[in-house]
Amino acid sequence: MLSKVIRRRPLALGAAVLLTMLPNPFAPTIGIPYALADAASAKAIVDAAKAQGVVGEQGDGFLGLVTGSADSAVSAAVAEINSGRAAVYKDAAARSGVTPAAAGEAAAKQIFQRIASGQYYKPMGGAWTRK
Amino acid sequence: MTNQLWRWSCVLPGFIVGAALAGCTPTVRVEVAPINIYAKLDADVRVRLDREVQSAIQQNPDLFPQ
Repeated sequence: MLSKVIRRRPLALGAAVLLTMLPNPFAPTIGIPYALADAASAKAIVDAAKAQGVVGEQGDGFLGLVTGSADSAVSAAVAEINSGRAAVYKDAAARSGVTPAAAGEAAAKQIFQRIASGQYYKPMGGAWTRK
Repeated sequence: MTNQLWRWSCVLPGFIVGAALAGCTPTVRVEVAPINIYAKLDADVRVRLDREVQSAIQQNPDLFPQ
């Protein structure tokens, strides 16, 4: 596949040389889910908060607080899921040769399609919107 | 043989240009705008990334809405 790219675009290798200078190590891939045991309870808390309009999905692929603040249990659950997602994005990014931020945006595109109506989402550069 | 020659004729200029660019630009340009990092990716990279992300979402039902 690489040789095909090189043949088609002579500058591709130059770009590849530049890319190797960026801090973008291809992490070893592991096949286990990142979520641990209490991620399930974090999800339950977040799902309830989403239904109440307290938590929503952001365009960067992370959960956010729609109102800007929430009680500590909700904040902790959001933080836990977000850290799990960060690990997932880092891995997917390494496999695809992009930045974790790009992987988060790609995930947000798919997450937005799964948002139940009545719940909130915030596109990149936009405001919280009710679906 | 001609295939190999053709390959090197493509690889070498790419290598030289890459080295030249690396020499001219000691600082790595960081994308400032938070918007559209994804949109600026090559189409083939986007396809691969979408596939990776989709399977990651499905493998982590506790982290993502299914």
